[in-house]
Amino acid sequence: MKNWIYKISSGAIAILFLYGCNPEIDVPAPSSGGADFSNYIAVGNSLTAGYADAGLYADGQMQSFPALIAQQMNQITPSDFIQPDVPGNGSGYAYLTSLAPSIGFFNPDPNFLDQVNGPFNNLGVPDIRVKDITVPGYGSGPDVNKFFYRMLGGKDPMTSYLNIVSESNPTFFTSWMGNNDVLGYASSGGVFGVDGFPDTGLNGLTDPDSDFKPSYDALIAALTAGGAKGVVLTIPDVKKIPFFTTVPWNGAVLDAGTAVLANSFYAAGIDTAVESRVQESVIQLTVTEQAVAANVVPQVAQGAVYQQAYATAYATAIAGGATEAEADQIAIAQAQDYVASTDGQTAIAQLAGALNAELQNHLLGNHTNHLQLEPLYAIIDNELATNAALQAGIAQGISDLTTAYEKELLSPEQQAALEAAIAENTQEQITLLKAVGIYPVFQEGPNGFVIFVEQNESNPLGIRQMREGELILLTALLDGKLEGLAALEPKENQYILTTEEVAHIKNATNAYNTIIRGYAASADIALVETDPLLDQVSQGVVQDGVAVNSDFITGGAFSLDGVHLTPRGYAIVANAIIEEINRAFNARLSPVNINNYRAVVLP
Amino acid sequence: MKKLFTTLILLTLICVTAFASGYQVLLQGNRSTGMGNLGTALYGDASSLFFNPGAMGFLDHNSIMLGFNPIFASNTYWDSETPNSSYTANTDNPMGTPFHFYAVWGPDESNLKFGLGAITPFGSGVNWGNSWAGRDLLNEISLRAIQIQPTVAYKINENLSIGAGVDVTIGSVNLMRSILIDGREPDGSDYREGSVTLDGKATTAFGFNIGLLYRASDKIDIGLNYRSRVDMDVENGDADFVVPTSLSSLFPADNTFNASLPLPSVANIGLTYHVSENFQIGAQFDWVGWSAYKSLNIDFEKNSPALEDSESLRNYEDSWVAHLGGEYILESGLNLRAGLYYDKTPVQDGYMTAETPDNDRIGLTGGLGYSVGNFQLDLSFLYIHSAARAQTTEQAIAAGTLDPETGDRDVLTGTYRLNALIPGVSIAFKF
Repeated sequence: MKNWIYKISSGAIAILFLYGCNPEIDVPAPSSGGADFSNYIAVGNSLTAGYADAGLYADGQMQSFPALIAQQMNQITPSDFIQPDVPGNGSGYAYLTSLAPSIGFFNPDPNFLDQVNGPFNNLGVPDIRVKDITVPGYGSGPDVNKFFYRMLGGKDPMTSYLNIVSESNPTFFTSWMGNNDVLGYASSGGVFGVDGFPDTGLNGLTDPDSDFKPSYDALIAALTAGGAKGVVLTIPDVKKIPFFTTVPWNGAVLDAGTAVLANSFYAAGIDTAVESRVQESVIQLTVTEQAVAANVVPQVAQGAVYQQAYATAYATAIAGGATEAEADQIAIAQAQDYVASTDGQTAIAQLAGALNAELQNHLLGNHTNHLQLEPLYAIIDNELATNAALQAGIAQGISDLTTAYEKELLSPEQQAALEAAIAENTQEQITLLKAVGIYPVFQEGPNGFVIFVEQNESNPLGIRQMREGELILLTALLDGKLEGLAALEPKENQYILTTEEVAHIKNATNAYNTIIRGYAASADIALVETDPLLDQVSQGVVQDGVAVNSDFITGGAFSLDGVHLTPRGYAIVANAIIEEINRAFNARLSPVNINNYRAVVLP
Repeated sequence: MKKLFTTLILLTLICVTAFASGYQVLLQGNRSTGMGNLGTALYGDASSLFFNPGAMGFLDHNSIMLGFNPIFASNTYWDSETPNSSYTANTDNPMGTPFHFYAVWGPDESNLKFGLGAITPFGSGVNWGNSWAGRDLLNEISLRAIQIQPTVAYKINENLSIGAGVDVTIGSVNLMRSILIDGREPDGSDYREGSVTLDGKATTAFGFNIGLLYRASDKIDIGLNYRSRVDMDVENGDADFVVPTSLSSLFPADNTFNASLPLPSVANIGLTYHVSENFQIGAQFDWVGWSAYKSLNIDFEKNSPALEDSESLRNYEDSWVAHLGGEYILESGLNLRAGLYYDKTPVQDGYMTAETPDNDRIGLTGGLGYSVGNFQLDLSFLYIHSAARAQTTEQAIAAGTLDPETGDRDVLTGTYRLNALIPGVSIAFKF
């Protein structure tokens, strides 16, 4: 009987045991479809390396998007994914010291520059541009590219990046290249120039056709030489990343009181400068006009009247049968008589009057209304340019009048007239400068930041306010340029992308992306468009219980450098790539949980 | 026999807590457990105090009984809502330890019986750990409720007995969640994720338990029982937050919380049929008033823009349990028991949480009883099986437990499955 109980009971227990401890759920097994994940190679730049917070450090590197993808591939095809591991703090990295925000920096690990031996699966090299791919010696020393240098343990220092890629024999690859070709230009405020434009050095915006395409072609050829399949990623519109979006062009947000203060601050500097410029020009004009009217115009008018009388008399004499010499004699005599006559004197006075009437206008560089006077003004200009005595007189006159004006030694009427002229002109100038945005004007609410620009005739101040469509870089914020009243001071070029620079960036990005999309024409190469992905993140992604957007610090996707991603941001990229791999190669690769990867670490 | 128990013990060591739907625990006597959790129309041991105070009046002896049922339960989660996901997680639940104690005494030749019981009719212990996908909702929860039940029964005649008891309820809850914000440790480069621990004791609450047993004939017994709802109110429980220093003003220190959890009313009707002197079978139906559990509201003493009082919808619906079981007494005196029950989940689609990832359950039970002198030993074994249950994102959005705009969620969508192995032992001393 007991035996019977025993059999039943142990049978029941055996059945229960088959269920195991953890309840079973039928989870579809991941699979590689038409792809081979046994040797996944990731080529790219800092974004591929796992760079974040302005540095490549162990925690970020371990959560690079290729490492996340490899970890999912490992569920299907067990294989090691080797990264050029950096020790601890790696190249050093930024961390948040307060939510203000203020940022500190962890020093590089002392062994960061020790070379490590490959081969590596993650070939992400921070800073590398497409045009650097084929350059021999790109990792020849820590001062060339320290990240590539440290990956070249046991290698010829003159090895190019392309050599390393060729040796990697991928069965599968991802390639996210080209960001730095545009980013280097963009994140330096465009100071390095554009290839093909004057004053552009090695750090200019890469030319799509002569530099970008040949290098990228060679890279794709190296990756696919062994028949590997893979994914290429386009370059997002960099101006959408927090580095460029955190502070808007009109981010000088002021209350009414501060706006008044700011206006008076600029007025104090600019009004005086404008007024002194105007005073100088008004006095110069006044003195020049007087000197010319007194010393040049009478002679010019007399000369002109004489010339006309001479010409008339000469023509009459020739018509009467006189020889040229006789006619000359007659014409000189008649012209001298005419000039001496009352009529002649009246004509001279009239002409002088007409010249004087338009003289100021002419001296200001405007065309006069009397075309026939132009040749006479040309004579006056010539006198002004060549007559040393006249020049000296004018210079003396300017000096005297300036002194007299400033010391108020003039008659009250003169003083008042000059003051009025200066004031009127000053006001005109200021109105004009304000209208074109050169003279900063602040109102309550958002205001364009003031930036330094080239100083020239049309912009005598060498500053202006920013305009819509222009970008101010995150570095301005991090360098403390936007704190308190410093926010109102003019910003240097390296903090700004002007409309023109933004257009260069857009054109280059579009050209690069057209080239990259071309590679995906092959059935073996899938394509991830990163710009729509960035748009999606900008609008906010809600997934796995976390909300992510592209706001600086609080958004969770971008790290403290405003350019590179947090592990959470890289997880989103990994999932976009995984989704495309599954679609293009009929694979079933499991996405990662984005909440398993951190956002910005708060103090 | 010895080998069987060794096997049992080994099994329980290999694996490793509410063991009915919701957070109800149906383990209050191992004779009943062995018989598919029948109890309302059973009499003969001290556990009647819980199952039906009316039946206590038919107890022909005085008794002290002590028993417990270690629960080895495990949950599995699969992220079935994310296309192609192979993500799974398992709980590492602590062993649940529901117990029961009964003392029943009646004066000789009296129709009255007095009793005192201590039972754990509700409780839960789930531990998903602090690295799984739903850690923002739950790392672990431990919910305990203990009822002390002074009871009196009166046998009106040989066919009818009634009884009633007062349920004095005490309890505690401890819940830990992750806050998905990483903060740097004060000493530098390392960082850790935030968390909150809610820990509180419930104020003593009172309810009642009444029952009736009617012996309709030599063959048929009918039982009715009702246990009232009791609310477990936690007042001034400790709310401890671990967050980055820069956010500490948003998560005030020394914070406390209030919360309330209903322990629902239960009504039972049971029928026992005595096939012969030594063979009886029974059926029972329970109604459980789970609709009392509308939401879990946590009211913090100190609020901030980041720390508002929370209302997590539960919207349980009333549920039921149907039992079948039997007991056969061998000539040797050994009692053999077996049974099964079907336990309908009170959790509607869209409201399935990590603390009770519940589904309809089937319980398969077996048990043994043996008397030696004044001692009665009862052993039981319960295996709980439930099918995998998927909760879709659409269901959660429709239920209001997932906000697709903000990502705020009370539930983690995906597929859950539970099973449990629960051995049990009771020892009674009869006098």
